[in-house]
Amino acid sequence: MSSKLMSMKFMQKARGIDPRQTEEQLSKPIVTDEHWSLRKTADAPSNKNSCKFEYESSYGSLISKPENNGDTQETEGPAVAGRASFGLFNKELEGNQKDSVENEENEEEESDAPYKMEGLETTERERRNQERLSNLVRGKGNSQAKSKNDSHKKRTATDMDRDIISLDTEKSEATPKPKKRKNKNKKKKT
Amino acid sequence: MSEVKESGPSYYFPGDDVKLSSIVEQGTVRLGPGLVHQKHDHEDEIKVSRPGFLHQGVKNTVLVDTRMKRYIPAMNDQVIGQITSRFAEGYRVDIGSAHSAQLNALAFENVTRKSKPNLNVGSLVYARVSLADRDMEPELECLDATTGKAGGFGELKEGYMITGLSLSHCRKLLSPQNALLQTLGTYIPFEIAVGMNGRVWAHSETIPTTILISNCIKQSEFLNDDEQIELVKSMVKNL
Repeated sequence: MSSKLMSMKFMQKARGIDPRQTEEQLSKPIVTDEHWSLRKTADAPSNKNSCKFEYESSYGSLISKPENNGDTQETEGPAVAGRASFGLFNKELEGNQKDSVENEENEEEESDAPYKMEGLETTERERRNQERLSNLVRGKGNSQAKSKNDSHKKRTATDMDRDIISLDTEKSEATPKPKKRKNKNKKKKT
Repeated sequence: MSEVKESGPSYYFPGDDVKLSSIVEQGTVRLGPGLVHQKHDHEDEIKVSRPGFLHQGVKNTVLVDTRMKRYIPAMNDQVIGQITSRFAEGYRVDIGSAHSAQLNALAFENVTRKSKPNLNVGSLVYARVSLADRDMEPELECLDATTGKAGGFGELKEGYMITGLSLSHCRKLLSPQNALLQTLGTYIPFEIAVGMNGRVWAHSETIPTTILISNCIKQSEFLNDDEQIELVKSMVKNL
C-alpha cells in the first residue's frame, strides 16, 4: 500500500492512531525552557553577592548633611540649600534659616568654640538692630505725644471731657481761650 | 617601602578599582559621578573614571569629588544663570555649560499666562535644572521640585556674580555650617546664592564689602577651616 493511502485518516483510525494527536505533536514548538538549560553547571555565574548598581548623575542629591550621620532631618536649612543670608540682610531667608538652625543646634552635640562665639555675635548684631529700630519708634512716639497734646488744646470741650471730674478739665478749658484770640489776630492780618 | 598611614578620604586616579568590601555589599549601591560599574569574570567591579577623593555617604552612596571647572548639567542642580535672550515662551539662559539652557516663562511661582515675570536680558536667575541630557538643551525651572513654590529660586537683583570657581569649591560652600561664610556673616551682613555651575552671587550693602566677600571666596579654596577664619579676619581688618 502506498504511503499516501496509509496517511489517510480512516486508515490511521483502523490502526488505532488518533490523527488529531499526531497533528498537535507536529504543530507544537520544539523549543521549551528545558532546551535552554546549561549542561555544565560549573560555568554558571553565582548570584550570591548580587548588588544592583544605580547611577546618580548629579552631586546635588548626594550632598545631604554629611555631619548628621543617621539623623534624618526633614527640615532643611532654608528652602533651598544654596541661598543664605547673614546679619538680617534678607529677612525672609533668615527667618527660614533661624528655625532650622535652632533645631540643628539642639540636636548637634559637637560644637566648636569659634562657632558658638559667632552665634553670640550675630544675636548681638540683631540686638543692636532691634535697639536702633526701637529708638526710631520711640522718637516717633514722642513727637506723636506732643502732637496729641496740641490737638487736645485745639479741640473744643466735648461731653466726655466734661464728665471727667478732675483738675485737668479746668486747665483744658482755660488754655484754648488765649489761642482763639491769636487765631483771630492771624485772620485779621491775612 | 614604608607604609604611609592614610587619614581621611583617599585619592583615586582613573582606572583604579574601588573595593566592594569597603562598601556594604547587599542591596543597591548608588554610584555617583566619576564611578563606573563593570563585570569582569563574573565579578562586580567599580572603577574610577575621574580623579578625586572618594566619599561614602548615607545609604550606600559612593562618589568621587573631582576638582572640575567645566560644568556638565545634571538633574536637580541649583545653578546661577544669566539671561542672554528672550523669546515668546521664555528665556535663553547661559549657565556655563556647552549648550545654553531654556527657562520657560511659566516656570515661576504664582504665574499665569497674563502675569508673566518680566526679566531683562543680562539679569541673573537662580534656578533648578529640570531636564539635563547630553543630546538636548538643558531646561531650567524657578520652582522647588517637591513643593512647587519658589523656595529661594527666582531673579537675583543687584549684587555681583563671581565666576571661574571650581565645582568642588562651590559644593563646599553649599554646606550650611561652612566656616568661611559663618565668619563673614559675623562681620558683614550679606546675602549669598551658591550655584553648582561654578558661580556664586553675593550682595551686600556697599561695593567694598561685596569685593571683600568675593576675594575671600576666591582665595579660600585650598585653605582649611582655621586658615579661612584667619583670612576673613585679616581682610576685614584691612577694609
